[in-house]
Amino acid sequence: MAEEYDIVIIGSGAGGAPIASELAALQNRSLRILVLEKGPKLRTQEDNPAGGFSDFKRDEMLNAGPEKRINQDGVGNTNRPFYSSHIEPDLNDEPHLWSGHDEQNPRVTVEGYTAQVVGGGTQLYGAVSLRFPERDFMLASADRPAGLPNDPYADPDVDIRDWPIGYDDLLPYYEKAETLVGINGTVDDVQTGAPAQEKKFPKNCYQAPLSPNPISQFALNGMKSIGAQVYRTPLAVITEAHAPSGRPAPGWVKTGYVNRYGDPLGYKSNTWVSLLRPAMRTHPGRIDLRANCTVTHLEASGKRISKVHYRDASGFPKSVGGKIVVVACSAIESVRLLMLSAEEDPTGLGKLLRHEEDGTPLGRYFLTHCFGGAEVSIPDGRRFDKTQSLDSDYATDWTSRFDFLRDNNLWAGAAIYNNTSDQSLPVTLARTDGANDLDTWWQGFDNDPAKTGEGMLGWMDADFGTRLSVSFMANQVPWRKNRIRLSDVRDKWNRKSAWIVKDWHPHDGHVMNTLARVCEDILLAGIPGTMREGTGIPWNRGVIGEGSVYGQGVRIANHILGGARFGTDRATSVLDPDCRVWDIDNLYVTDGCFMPTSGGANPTLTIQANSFRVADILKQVV
Amino acid sequence: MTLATIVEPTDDDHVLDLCAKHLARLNDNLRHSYNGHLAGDPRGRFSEGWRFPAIESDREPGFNQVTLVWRREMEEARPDSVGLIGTFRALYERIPLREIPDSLYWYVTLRVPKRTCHRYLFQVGGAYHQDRVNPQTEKDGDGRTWSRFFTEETTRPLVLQTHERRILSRFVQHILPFRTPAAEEFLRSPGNPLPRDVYELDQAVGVVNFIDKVLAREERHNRIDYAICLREIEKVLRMREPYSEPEKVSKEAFTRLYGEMWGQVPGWDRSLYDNPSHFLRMVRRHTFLGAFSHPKYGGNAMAVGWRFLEERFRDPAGGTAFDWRKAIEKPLGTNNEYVG
Repeated sequence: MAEEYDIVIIGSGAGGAPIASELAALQNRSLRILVLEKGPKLRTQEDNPAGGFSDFKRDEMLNAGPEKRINQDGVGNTNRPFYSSHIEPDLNDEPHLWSGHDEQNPRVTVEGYTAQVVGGGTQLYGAVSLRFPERDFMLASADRPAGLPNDPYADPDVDIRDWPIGYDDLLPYYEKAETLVGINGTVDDVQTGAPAQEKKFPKNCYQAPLSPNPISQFALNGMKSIGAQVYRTPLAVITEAHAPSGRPAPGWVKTGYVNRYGDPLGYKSNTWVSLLRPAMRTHPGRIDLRANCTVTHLEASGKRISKVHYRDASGFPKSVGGKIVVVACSAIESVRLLMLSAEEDPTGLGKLLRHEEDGTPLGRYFLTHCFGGAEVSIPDGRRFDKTQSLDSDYATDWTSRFDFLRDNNLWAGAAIYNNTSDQSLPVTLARTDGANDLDTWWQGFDNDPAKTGEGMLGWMDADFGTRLSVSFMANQVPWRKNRIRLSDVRDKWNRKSAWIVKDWHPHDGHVMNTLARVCEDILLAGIPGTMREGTGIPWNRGVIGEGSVYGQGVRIANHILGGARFGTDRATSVLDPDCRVWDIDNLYVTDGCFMPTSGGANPTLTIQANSFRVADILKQVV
Repeated sequence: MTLATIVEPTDDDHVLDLCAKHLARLNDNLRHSYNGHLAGDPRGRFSEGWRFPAIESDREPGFNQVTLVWRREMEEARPDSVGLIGTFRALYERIPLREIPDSLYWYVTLRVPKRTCHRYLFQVGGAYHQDRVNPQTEKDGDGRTWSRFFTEETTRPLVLQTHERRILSRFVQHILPFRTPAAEEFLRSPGNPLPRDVYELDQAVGVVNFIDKVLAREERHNRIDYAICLREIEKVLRMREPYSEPEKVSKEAFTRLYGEMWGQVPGWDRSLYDNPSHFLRMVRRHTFLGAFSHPKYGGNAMAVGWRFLEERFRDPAGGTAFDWRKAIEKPLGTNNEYVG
């Protein structure tokens, strides 16, 4: 007989950990909670008191140094190199595929911040933790500019939906997430003190930010020059003692080893150090955390999930039961798990999930973010120690305001912030030289014969400690054709891999071009002596490059969302407003796949806030 | 020579954390066969078998913890015991491995001195076996093949031959900016931050050592490129300067060859290796990585690459614009919290 738990949570990242920690703390009840995590539990220094060593390192070689090769038959990029962190999925063992809508020539891909480790993607993220603007919850019904280019609202294959909850519903959970996770930043404008975030902020839950890196002043100047309100970017890194998680005040947290690194000291507020570990210490015995366990499929009995089948650290098949089952293993993997489960039981669970129906919404409206920006080398010879930084200093919601959308014919807005620690370390500088995404690592450096001897010195003189970028994170149009399906390429357990069929809606291109230009304007205004690219001057310091990330190589996106959206209409959504799968009484999905629109900001905080909301719902039903 | 000691086995979960991602599987497809070299060998099934044995930090300075793992096949009968012999202890001394309950894994963790390289075999049911995961092997004087590992900061050449290392050294010198007047000025500056026992600013020795190690382990699949291309380069250089050893040809001849490798190299046998620029790009990447990654990987000897950047690049206040020491563990860096 399988072990029985009150709640089984699949995934320990932003979607799963808030629920585990909340239910473990439930007063007057002692629930048995199981968290199944595919990846290992890598230790911080505190987690390993015997030797004091962490399994995470400030080590560029460990992080993404060696070249690996894609070795999958039947894909378009087999034998191509890739470089990935030691906590990302192994592309050969657990590939995702990606193709355009023609479904021809799929290539192996990995998403930028998907990590297989206790803590999930929050171990790897840059920790930018913004709330979504209020308007982003109601993009179907909110006023919108007339005459949108390639109007997505007029496209019958596009289905823009309001969220079934609004900002006000999520507000208390944003506050809870910011308090419990541990985030530094400001609500107000850094110069005027006026409210600067483009959403209601009745309560400030942030820790004080660190002193900004001096290079960020150029970005601040530029944002101010275009009339923006500017706040300190909320970052999930503690700067003070954090009582909810029991983490002491950091000694020295500024370091370039944050974005895309696991933190050996636990200052970066991943879900292990901020939520799961404190819950397990405060309520011993309530959470059973099993690392290295891959859930293979769910089994239904009637309208309930009766068993969760998984492979343990050796690969032995196991199963458990739970009164409640929560799937939170990142958007693509959650959709894939539901699809694989439906194939295992086509007449039972498959029917409940409507897996084979033509109109099934499962896997449809997969989303990433419209992403891009502008960058430059500061032209006047000044350089800064960018290793003494967190990932961003200044942010603005200026492009989420309706007047901006109206003036620029955009359907939805974006957060804009400067990147401070990018290219701060020598290997990273070379690895990302000329790269437009994580998929083109080393190509700019490797392919430039001039970067040799004196030429290399000249390049480093120009770029080391001088690079400054400003990025945007914007909504992508939800398009039915953008979908997740199953492929015949098998993972290491001989299961079908996920196949992402995705392209960009024509309006997405307008969004990205417009916002990249704004980022360029910020740098132009903020840094005297800079000029636009394409003015006939060869690439050198002071020439601003701008562009967007369409994802053309190995990595499809930084953020993956949608695919099992929630809504009030069971015909067009997979989840009900509580994030429960329609027609299945005890199955909830809480990672980013629930989102009907992708939000104009980094999504992790919203995933965490929604999980805290679902935890409150589960307290009533478990 | 200091012998390895056995670290008390107290943390089975940590070993599972090291193992599961790469070793747990049902799919037998080749995942990393090193250009077919391991086709038919079970080690070709593991996509990152080079991670084994696991080499980790140890609280004793000058040592690594090395965790050696024996993985039985799922359908294979459970052995009564698994042992290990290796050059880290007296060869007659069998070290027992511990079985992780309800798993496929047996392991032992040893405290092994840094800068050492060792051969080992597992003993299972009275027979000796090479490591089923780790693709590194080495022959002993009698021609028997053993499994091999090396610890951090190892300098013993493992895969590159002497003549290959010499040619490679020229590439490294040519690519890196350490033969420029600026670097020489740095070297001569008062209060030169270089340790006295570092030989000038020349990173060639360290970076070639780094490349040797990365080809021995993480990027073993690229070893064949080095073998073919360095041979072709030697051949071309001998044709051009027949009275000089290839590694000692004039700077002009070497610079010319370097430039030609981006396109056509007269005398290069393209039937053996079609694209010299592919090799050149790889060497450039390895060279930079070796010069500026953590010194424990064998390049960036005594952090001279980092020290050069620290000294050369200054912020507006005159301080360094690359204060790597603040983030890095002692004694290499100055961070009081991060122990490495």
